[in-house]
Amino acid sequence: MSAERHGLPDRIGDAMVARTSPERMQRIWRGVGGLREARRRRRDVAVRAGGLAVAAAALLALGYFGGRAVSRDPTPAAQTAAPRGEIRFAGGGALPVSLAGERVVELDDGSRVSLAGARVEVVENGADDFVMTLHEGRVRYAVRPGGPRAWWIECGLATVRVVGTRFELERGATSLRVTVDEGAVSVRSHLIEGGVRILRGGEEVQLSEPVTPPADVSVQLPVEVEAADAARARAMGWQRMAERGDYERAWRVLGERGIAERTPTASAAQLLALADVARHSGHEEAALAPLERLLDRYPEDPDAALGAFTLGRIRDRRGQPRAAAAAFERALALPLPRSLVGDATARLAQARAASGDAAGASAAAADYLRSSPNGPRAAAMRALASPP
Amino acid sequence: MPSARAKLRAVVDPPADDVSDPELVARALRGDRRAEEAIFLRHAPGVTQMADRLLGSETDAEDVVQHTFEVAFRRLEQLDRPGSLRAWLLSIAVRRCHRVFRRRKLLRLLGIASHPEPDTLIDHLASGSSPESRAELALLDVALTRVPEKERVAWMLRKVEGLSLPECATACGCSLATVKRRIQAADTVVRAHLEGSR
Repeated sequence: MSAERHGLPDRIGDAMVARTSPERMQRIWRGVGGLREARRRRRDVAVRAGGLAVAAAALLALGYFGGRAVSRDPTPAAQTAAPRGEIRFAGGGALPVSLAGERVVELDDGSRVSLAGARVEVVENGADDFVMTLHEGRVRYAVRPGGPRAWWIECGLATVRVVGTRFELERGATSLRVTVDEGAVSVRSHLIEGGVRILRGGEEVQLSEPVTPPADVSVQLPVEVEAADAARARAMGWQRMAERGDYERAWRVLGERGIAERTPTASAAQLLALADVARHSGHEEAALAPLERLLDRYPEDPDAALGAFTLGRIRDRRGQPRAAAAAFERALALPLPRSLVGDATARLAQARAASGDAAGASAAAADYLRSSPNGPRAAAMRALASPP
Repeated sequence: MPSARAKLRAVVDPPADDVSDPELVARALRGDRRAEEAIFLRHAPGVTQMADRLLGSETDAEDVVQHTFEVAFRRLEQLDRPGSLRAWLLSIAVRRCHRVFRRRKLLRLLGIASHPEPDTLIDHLASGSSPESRAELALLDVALTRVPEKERVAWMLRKVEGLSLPECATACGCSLATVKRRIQAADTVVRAHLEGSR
């Protein structure tokens, strides 16, 4: 071959760039750790399930269960030996390649797929991966967490990767909607900035095929538009960096100006991500605007309570107790995760006390003591609840 | 066992180069996590590069590399010849790449192609490369689209990644004779295309 090649070295790879930055290697290493951890959890679950199965078998052998087992397999005749690791109907029947219409399918790994006017196909059904395609319609998935396989749903405009979660997909002719109720999925698509987005409970993404102008209508973009596009391209990927915890790099891409520019038009998830980039890169003040915007624009968002709590902490650290108290009040009025309610109540009491609202501080401290009489802040709250 | 948030300590404190693969494997089998990190640090860049070029998609390549090392650490005791660690890792990665190819093919067949067109070799070319290199690689990219998958993979391992023939055979999971035949078959197509284009 080398005799025919004039421009390339014998080992062609020597002429190429290696995309193996330390950041990427670190990310992959974390992924390896995640996979190993997931496998360890699955093994633990399998061991426990095995123990239960042995116990159940022993009971059956003793004739403890007299009745016949109820099969949820819609095709009991299809109960043949399954290839190793294959997902089957909960009753044991083999899954067909194609599923369509209005039906609820229960699977033997504890997952459930509910079709609403949808058509799906099982592309791969193995020990490690379960791959489905969604051709059209709406499907609600409840994938059992800690199950033995990674689930992938190919939807044309995107690939959805699932570990264990409840979510819904709706595919139209040129659109796709992904809504996550619980857990998390990663949505990969060339239509998403950075190529991938992690969706968590309460989040949604809508993708639409861009409309291509007819070939005979060529539009010359003004210079300013081209410049704006270039700027957008430069900023591409900050969200991906934030999702991976690389806040320093994301800050270098965005800067204070980038955060300010994006805040007015960002989604709830993006606002939280912008605030995270600012906070974790050591620019806490720049997180205030996205968090305020989140509370103004998306008060119904499931993450609004977390946003308010974070805002309260920042205001508190910056010596603004009145604003901090307002933010903690807001957080407590929203569906804040239970694990944070005690902390938010205590912080509210202290912020009120610091802003001169002794009665308010006492009331909040009393609230804390009612719910957590032996909580970690009980001593401080007792002092505030009954001031000298 | 590394957690999902585990930091790769060896990045800032790399192991000595004179520690051989067999020694690292032996240490890893005794439960030494630093040895696992050292194995990753030494071989992950090569596996990643190969997966990047074979698959033309960084996201898919990262999945493959993660899977490769998860499987490798789980089955390390099955490695007969620790001296051939690199080829063994590549063989796991190549098998996984074939699964990605199969899946893509099937999805294309079903009219569900969610991936944009994969990168080609020319997308990986170093900036500042000569126009001749660019032209050669553009021709190779086209030629390789005409080569069947298994032959293309064998050819790329040999000609792009520079693996020895025994390493190519191990990575492809076939005999030395078979891998030679595959490389030869791919070479014939590539030569014909290059000559026809001059």
